Amino acid sequence: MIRRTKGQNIFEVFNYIIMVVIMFTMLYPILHVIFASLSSPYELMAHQGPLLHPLKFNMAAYAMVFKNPMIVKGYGNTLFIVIVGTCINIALTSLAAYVLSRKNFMPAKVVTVFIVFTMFFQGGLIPSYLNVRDLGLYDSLFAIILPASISVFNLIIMRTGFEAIPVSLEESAKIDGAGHFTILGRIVLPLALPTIAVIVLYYAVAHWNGWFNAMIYLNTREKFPLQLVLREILIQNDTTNMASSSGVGVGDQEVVGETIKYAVIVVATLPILFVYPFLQKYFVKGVMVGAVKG
Amino acid sequence: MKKTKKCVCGILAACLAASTLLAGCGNGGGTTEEVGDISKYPMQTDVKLTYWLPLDTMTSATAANLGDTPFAKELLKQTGANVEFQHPAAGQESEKLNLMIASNELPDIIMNDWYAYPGGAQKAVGDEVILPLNDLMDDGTIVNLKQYYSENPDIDKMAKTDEGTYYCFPFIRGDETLLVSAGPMVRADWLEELNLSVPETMDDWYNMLVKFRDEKGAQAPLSFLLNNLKTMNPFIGAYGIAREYYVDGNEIKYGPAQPEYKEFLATFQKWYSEKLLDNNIATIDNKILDTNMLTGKTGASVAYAGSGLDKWMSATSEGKAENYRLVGTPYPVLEKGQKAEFGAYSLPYVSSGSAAITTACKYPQVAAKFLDFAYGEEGKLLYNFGVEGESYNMVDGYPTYTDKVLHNEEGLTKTNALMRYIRAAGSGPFVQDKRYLEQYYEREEQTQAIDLWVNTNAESHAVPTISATEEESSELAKLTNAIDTYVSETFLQFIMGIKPLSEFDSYVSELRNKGIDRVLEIKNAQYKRYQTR
Amino acid sequence: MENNVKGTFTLASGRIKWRVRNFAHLRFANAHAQKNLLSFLALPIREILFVPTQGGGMEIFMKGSLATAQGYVKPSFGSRLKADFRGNYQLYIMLIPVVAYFLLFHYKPMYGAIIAFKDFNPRKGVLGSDWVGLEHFASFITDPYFGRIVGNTLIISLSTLIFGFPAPIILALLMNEIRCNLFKRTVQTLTYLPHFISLVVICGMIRDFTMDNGVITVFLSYFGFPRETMLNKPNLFVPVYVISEIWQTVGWGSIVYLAALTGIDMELYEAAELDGAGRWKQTIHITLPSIIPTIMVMLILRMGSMLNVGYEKIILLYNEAIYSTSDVISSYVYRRGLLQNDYSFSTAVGLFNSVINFLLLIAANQISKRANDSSLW
Repeated sequence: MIRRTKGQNIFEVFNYIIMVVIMFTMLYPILHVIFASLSSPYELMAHQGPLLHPLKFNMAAYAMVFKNPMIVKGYGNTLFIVIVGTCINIALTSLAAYVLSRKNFMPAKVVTVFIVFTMFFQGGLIPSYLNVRDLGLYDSLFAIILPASISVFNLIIMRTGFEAIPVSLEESAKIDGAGHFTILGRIVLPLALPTIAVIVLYYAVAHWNGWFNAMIYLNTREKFPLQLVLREILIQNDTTNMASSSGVGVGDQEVVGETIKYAVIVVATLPILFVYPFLQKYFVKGVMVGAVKG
Repeated sequence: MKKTKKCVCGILAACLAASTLLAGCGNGGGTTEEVGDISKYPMQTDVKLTYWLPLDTMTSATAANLGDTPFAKELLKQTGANVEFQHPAAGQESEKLNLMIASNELPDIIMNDWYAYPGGAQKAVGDEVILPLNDLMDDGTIVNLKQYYSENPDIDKMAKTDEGTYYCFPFIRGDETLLVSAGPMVRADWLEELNLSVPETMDDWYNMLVKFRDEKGAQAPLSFLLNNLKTMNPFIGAYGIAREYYVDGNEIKYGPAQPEYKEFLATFQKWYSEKLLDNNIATIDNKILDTNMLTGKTGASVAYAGSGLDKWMSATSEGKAENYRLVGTPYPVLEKGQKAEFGAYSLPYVSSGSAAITTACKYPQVAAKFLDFAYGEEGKLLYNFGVEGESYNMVDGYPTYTDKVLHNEEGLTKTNALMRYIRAAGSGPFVQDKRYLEQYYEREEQTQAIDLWVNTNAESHAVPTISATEEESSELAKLTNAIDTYVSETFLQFIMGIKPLSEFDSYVSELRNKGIDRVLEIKNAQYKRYQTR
Repeated sequence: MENNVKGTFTLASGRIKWRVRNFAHLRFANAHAQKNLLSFLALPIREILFVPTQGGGMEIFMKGSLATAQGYVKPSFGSRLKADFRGNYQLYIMLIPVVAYFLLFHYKPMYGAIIAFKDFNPRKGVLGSDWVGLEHFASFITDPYFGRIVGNTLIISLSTLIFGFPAPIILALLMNEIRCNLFKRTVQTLTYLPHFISLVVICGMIRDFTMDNGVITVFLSYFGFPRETMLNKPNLFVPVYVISEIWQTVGWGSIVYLAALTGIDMELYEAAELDGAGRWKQTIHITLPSIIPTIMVMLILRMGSMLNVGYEKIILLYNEAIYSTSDVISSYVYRRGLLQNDYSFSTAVGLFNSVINFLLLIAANQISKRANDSSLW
């Protein structure tokens, strides 16, 4: 055990207190959502202020959400998009990040500008739609996956991660006659696992939450991802929407709408929340040290 | 080897046959043989039509496709048409429509708000997206709609462009009681308790709100969504102006630029400072309003008969008073006995549910005949009441809904059950029947409220379907956005007391700077064109 | 003085021939050598030493009878590329799918941006619509509210940057100091939760809690703040927006720094410990410098979105009473879009934002390159 000064101890205590406070403020919104989703819609309607427990426990909203026959299909489609999409993302992004992180690669600068440029200038919805259609991707799940193969933002983060890997490791591999593919696969990727984990998380969450492209590029309802299905349930139960359409609303359906909004969030977010704790083990210190020594 | 050769030959032959067939179809117009006999319903035709329409949420709750509903099955049976319904994913229908137009993949019929097409309906025709219907009306294909227009010349005027082009099969609200569905409402149980009568004048309102505040402890006696002030003109209407553009005599005017606006602001500023008007009026939303209404923070509001009055009365929360009751009040006026000039009112011609035939349609006659059905006697019954013997029965000549739709056994809500058989609870190309709503409102309070709310001169002030030319529309978009921003902002500054009313004159001159005169000039030119239609 | 003396050096192996195009590239070891360039060349060179450099260039050491010169030859672009390709052909192969992706899905549809200069008509398509030149840009810039919405956008963006950018870094550093692993993991997991809750719900909660009887207002009133609806006060909008923004994003944003922290060599800490450096000093001298590249890259990227303040959160939080501080470019354009479905106008505004954002990014990149040698390119 390393000796600690008094100041360090004080800091430690403070740090824990701060963390506990932060934890509670961050935990609150999700609790609010869960409690609201389990409340009686009428009670929720009349309630103001923080929710500390479900008001008149009621599962009607979940019953309503799971009544929709598309939910299971939607989970399946989303799972496919997340898994296949993230694999393609990681493959392409790590290739690009590796190439751009090579200091002696002549066109690296030009290619970086070429790529960063696309962050700022896009063609917009209509040309993109025509493009996807002309490529024969329309109404296929790949219309959602392929156009989002690389996110420039994630690519740059990954490149920064790759650049942090000590050059000495690669050079010794080079001397042993290893090519770039070997260096990427055997040295860079394993050493950059924490960064890869971040990028996997970023991509997977983006795929999970995406609905806009699905709406534009998909026609067959059986192919709709979860978020699009849930969005339709939300819109079906939207209070404001109804009042404006015909001016006549009905009591019952509308009121459930308020709790459905929360139930939808729970159904839509809980599964993806579990990805992070699973990836967390890669954020443990010392991965690098072991590699250098071994 | 031989086998494959044969195969290839077969495929080639099939392709050739198919391509000649397609080419034949592509020539357009369509001969009578292909069309078949369409002179009477059900039509004898093999023509297949595609019909693109956003599926309203009340229907999509029970059916993935309109074609799966008993309504559509009956419609196809009675008209004899073969129609494939196509629906975009709910939410961003207009994007999907734009993509369809841009990529030139048009179905035969599109239901859309064609009046709101960028540049106006005439432009949609000029862009060759949709077909003008004038020829089809003249050659006797469209009979029922033409008949309806000749019986209702005011609607005929709204349904065509300045150039006289008919472009769609519109959604028409067939009775004035269908045009008003919202207005002011108050807590009847409080009125009783405080020995007050239903308020009529602005002074009545003031006295009532004071009592709500002092004796019922209401923290925000009057609370409503700010947007309802724009669409329904409560309180402001008492001063003879609207919150938006309105017709006065033969001229279009803008309420917030009128001198009467100052008086209205003075009243609201007083109400606000005395905490009669919700001091959170700027930030409240549906959720907060619900809370206010149900927990006794608020005793009066301006809302819809369904999503307001009925919803709040149906609510069963613990915080709600036992004898809770809401009643509608007439739109407030200044002097007792006056008839309110303004109130919630929507035009009988509703642009949002109109169906148009596209230029991609090869057999416009068939599509027109199919859509025209809705405006005939059988069509009206089907669109409003559904299938006889299933969703309604004729009782003494009055189509009466059955329990199957009003009190569904499988637990469907009234609207969801109704929308499997009818369209009247939503919108679409047909004439909405008043007898639908009579049976739809179940609470006496609702019908009574509507009767009070209908009693205004709002119709004479409503701005009709005037349309802008292309140049006008982009200039208007820019000017009105700046004006709207300024007026909404200063409205709250005035009533909250941040801006004193002594600055009203400089406010008006700032409105001039922002181009209100030009906007009114354009709008009045449009109105002139409308009148000479 | 003849500047373009051409000469040919031949490598000992005889495989590569280097043409020296420009002797100005030669850097001379001393002033005497430079002065005597011509005479130097005229004299027999006794010894030449070539050392190939990484970029495909060549360092040349020459020994004449009078002086020695040390120089460097930059080969022609073509030959450099050829050499690079020869050495790095695998990198080029790796790049093929990447470049193909960007060409196919980003550059091919990019022509669509020209509708900012056209009067877009869906029927005529992007290419067929009529040109209107800079009309949409002019319409935007001459709008009476142009100054206010750009100003508000910049204020909100800058405050989010100043207070919101360091927040995830500080959080990551604080989490790094936690020794108990289970606690650390719990904190990490919980802090990123708000990221997943839809804006509509988050903003509904913010509005509820900051009302005159909302929890936050009531809590703050114990410290002397007035009990008034915060979102009715123009001067409180930016703080409410920024603080809620931090609350929503700090955990999610800290993940990338946590990953960067894992790369620090533990031996550095051990050495510092032996030198008697406390934790504070370790943080300043070891931890922070090792994540500087990540911080700089995130900062540069952030600069490239200065004018992007999304309209969703704004329109969910603001109201007419506080337009003066809360109305931003995107919300104003959004309201205009409600009046008229105008693709061209919104594309023009988008393009305007992009150009400025891109310029800011380039500037930030340049500054960062000078200041601490980390840059995007």
